[in-house]
Amino acid sequence: MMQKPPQNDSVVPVDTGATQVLVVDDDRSLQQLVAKFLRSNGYQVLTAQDGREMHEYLRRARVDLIVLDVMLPGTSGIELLRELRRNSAVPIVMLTAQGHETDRILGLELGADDYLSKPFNPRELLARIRSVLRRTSASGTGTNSGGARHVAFEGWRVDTLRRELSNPDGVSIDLSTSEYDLLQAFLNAPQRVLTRDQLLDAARNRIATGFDRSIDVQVSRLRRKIDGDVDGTDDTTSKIKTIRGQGYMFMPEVIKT
Amino acid sequence: MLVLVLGLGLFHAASLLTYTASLNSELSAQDNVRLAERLVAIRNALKAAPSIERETLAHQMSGGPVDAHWGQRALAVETPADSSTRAPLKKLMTSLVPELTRETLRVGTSPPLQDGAIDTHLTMVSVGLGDGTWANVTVVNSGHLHGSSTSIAMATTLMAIGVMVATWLLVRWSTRPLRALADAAQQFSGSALSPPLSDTGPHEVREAATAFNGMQRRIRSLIQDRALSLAAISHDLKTPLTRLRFRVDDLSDQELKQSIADDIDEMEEMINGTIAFLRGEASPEDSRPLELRAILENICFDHADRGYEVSLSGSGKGILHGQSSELKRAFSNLIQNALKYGDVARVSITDAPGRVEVVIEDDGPGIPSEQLIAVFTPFYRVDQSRGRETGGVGLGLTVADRVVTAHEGTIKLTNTTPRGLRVVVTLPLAPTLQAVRSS
Repeated sequence: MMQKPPQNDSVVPVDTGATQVLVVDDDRSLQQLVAKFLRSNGYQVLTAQDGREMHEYLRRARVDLIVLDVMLPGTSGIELLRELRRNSAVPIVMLTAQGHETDRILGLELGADDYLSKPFNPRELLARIRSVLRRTSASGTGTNSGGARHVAFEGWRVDTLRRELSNPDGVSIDLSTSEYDLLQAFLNAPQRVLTRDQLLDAARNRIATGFDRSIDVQVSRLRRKIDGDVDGTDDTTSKIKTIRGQGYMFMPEVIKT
Repeated sequence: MLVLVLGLGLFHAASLLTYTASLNSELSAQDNVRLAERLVAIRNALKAAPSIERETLAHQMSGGPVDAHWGQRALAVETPADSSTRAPLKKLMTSLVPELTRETLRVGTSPPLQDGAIDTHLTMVSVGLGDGTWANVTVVNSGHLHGSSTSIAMATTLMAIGVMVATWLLVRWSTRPLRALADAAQQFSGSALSPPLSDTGPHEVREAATAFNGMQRRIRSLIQDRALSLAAISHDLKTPLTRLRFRVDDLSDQELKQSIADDIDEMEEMINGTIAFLRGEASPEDSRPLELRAILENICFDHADRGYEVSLSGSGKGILHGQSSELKRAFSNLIQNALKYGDVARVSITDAPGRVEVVIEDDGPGIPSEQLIAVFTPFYRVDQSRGRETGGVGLGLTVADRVVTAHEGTIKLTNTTPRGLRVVVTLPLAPTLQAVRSS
C-alpha cells in the first residue's frame, strides 16, 4: 500500500482556505490515491470510509464538494445522497462500479451533480470536479443548466438531467459528450456571440481523451444533428450562425421550463 | 397419426371382408339345407298325390324364391360349370332322399331361352317322381336374396370412420401436452425466461412435465450462478482498475505509462463487454423513438478522433423505436470488430421502406464461411486461424446479435472479394414516425 491510513478518522486538518473535497469510499487504497491526486492538483482533501465518518466531517469541517461512492458498507451511497439532499446543496460527484444508464439517471434525479463510472481515469475526475464547482458557483444551485430541467428551442427539447436531445417529432437524437456540452453552452447564452475559446472551454469540461478536434469540427457535427444537414456546412439555414472573426451564435429562442 | 389411420383402415377392411365372406357362406349353407328340405318335401308331396292334382299342388307349394311345376320331362339343364356351385345342394338332397340318383335328380339352370341365353339368376332342379314324371322347380339364386351386403359394408365403414375420428381427437388431446413439452424443450435456451410447463393431461405426461420443469429450474439456477459470479468478478475488477489508473498517472516513463493505460483500456472494454452480455435481455432501459444515424455518427467520429480509419456514408436517418445505449453498444461492437480485424470500417446507412439498413465493411481476412454462424455464440473466437492477438472475450457479436434481434432486426455476415467482411444490419423503422418525417 502506498499510503498509510490516517491515524484518526475524524481528525480535521488545518483549513488553508483552498477548496475542500471530501472523498467517501470504503476502498482505502483508492481513497488515498484519489486524495493524493486531488491534493497534487491544489485541493484540500478529507477522506471518509462510510456514512458515519462522512457525517462526522460534515459537522466539523467546511466541505465544498463530496466525491461519493455508491457501494458503501452500511448505508449505501444512494441513501446518503438522499439524506444529504434533504438539507444540503453541497456539490456531489457520485462514483459507481455499476455504470448502467439507469443508475446514472437515478443518481442525477436524486440530486447528484455528476456521475462517474469506474474505472475512471484521474483527469476525468478532475475535469468533472472542476466543471461541477464552476457550475454551482455560477448558478448557486446544485443542478445543471441554471436549474431548468427542460430547455426547448424551435420545438426541440433538451433534458438537462438525462443529457438528452429530442427533435420536434419527439425522436431522441444521440449527442456525444462534447456536442452536448457545446449545445449547453449555446443554450445558456442564446443570441449571443460565443468565441471559440469560450466554446472550447465548455466542451472541454468533460473530455477525457486527448484528441480534441478543433471547435469548428465540433460545431459542424452539432449542426448536422440539429439542422438535419448531412454535411453540417450550410450556414444560411443553420441554427448556429458563424460570426466571422468572432465565433458562433445560437439563433433560436430558448425556453427554460 | 398416419400409422393409426392406416392400421385402423386395414383392420377394418380385412374384418369386413372375412365377415361378409363367412356371412355369405353361412347364409348359403343354411339356405341350401332349407332349400333341399323344401325340394324334398315338394317331391314327396307330388309323389304321394294323384296325377290329376299334381300340377295344382305344385302351384300351391310354390312361393317366395321357389316356383314348382309338374311335368312329363326333366327341364333342368346340367352343365359342367354348374357342378361345383350347385353340388352342395345336390349332395344335401341325395343325403335326405337316398333313392335319388343321377338319373332322377338334376340340378342346373332352366332351359336356354329362344336367343340361347341362360338366366344365370335361376337354378332349376328337376326331381324324378319315380313314375317317369318330374317335378321341375326353379329357385331364384340365393346370393341375390342377400343383396344388402353392400349396405352392411357402408354401415360398418361409417362406424370405422367414426372410430377413427374419435380416436384421432383422443390421441391429439392426450399427446398435446407432449407436443408442448417438445416445444418447451426446443425453446428452452437457459437464459430466456421460458415459463414452466402446465402440469395437465394424462398422468405420464404430467410426470414428464414436472420433471422437465425441475430440470429447467436447475439449469436456470446454474446459469444464474455462473452469471452472478462473472458479474461479481467484473464489478469487483473495476475498483482495482481505477486504482491502477491513478498509480499509472504517477509514472514518469511516458511510453510505459501509455502502454499500461492501453492495457487498462482493453481490460475495461472486456469487463464492459462481459457485463453487457450478462445483463442479457433484461435491459432496464426504456425503448423510445431515436435516430440511428446520430448514434452511428457519434461512434464513427469518436473512433476517427482517436485516429482510426472510419467513414460514414449514406443519407439514411433510421428513425426507429429502440434502446439507445443498447444500440450504441451493438454498433460499437461491430465497428470495433471491423477496426480490430480489418483496420478500416466503412459504415453506411440507408433508409428503405419500413426498414433501415446499416452496412459495415472492413478489409480484414473475413471469417471462414463455415464459421459465419458460429461466431455469434458466446466466447467464440476465430483467432486461432488468424495468428493475431486481438484481445476481447468473444462476446461482441453475441451482444450485437442479441440487441439487434431484440429490436426485431437481423444481422448478416458475408465475406467480400478480394478480402474483407461485410456486416449488414437491418432494423424495422418506427412506422408512425416515418410518416411524420416524410410529410
